Amino acid sequence: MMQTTAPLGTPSGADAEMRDLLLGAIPALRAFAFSLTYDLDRSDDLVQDTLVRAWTKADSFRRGTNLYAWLFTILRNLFYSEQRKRKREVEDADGVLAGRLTSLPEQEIRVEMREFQDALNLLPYSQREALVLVGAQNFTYEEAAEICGVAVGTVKSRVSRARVRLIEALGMNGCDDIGADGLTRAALDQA
Amino acid sequence: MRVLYADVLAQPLPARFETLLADLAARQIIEESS
Repeated sequence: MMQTTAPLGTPSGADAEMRDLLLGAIPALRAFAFSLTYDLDRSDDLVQDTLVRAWTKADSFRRGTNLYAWLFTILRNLFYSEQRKRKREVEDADGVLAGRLTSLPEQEIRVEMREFQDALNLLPYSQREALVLVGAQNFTYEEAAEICGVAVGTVKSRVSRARVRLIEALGMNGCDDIGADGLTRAALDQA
Repeated sequence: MRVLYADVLAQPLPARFETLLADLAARQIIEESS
């Protein structure tokens, strides 16, 4: 049975409450990791490493502050650290990784949604993560800036550029010209 | 965007995460008792 209080010497914060908080954050962490990797297995490895890091560094998290922002920062740092180690281009210019989206179980992606994913995949990591953090994960610009370690204005600029590039890539005249597919319209409206 | 990643969010969580956290907690208890 999981004990409810941390044993003596345990990093402050690494307790049952933290464990439950981490468990609750896993779906959002997986989605963020997937938006960076387009690989579910690699995403889960990233999430696992994030959980281990968060647990062992629990004393550096201040209760009452934004746990998700802290976790996303850890995951993001791990991802870019791993990228640097790989020392190879993984922007997926050929769309190989993005193509794996279709292999997800029981997944039916509409044509316009697929086009949106392809366009999203062409964005630089910096713009993609900014758009995902603000548009999909509901972080404020300020929180996204903290996670990415940049100024708020930089995040706003990245999100703005990402939107423009998506609109261009999708051959739209603007956000009002998204097509008949309500899913895609909703997706861009949220972004 | 939320629609885009709905498939990932809807995926059942692998058991390895819960196992991992339980293992981390248990490992600490062992370290503290040794």
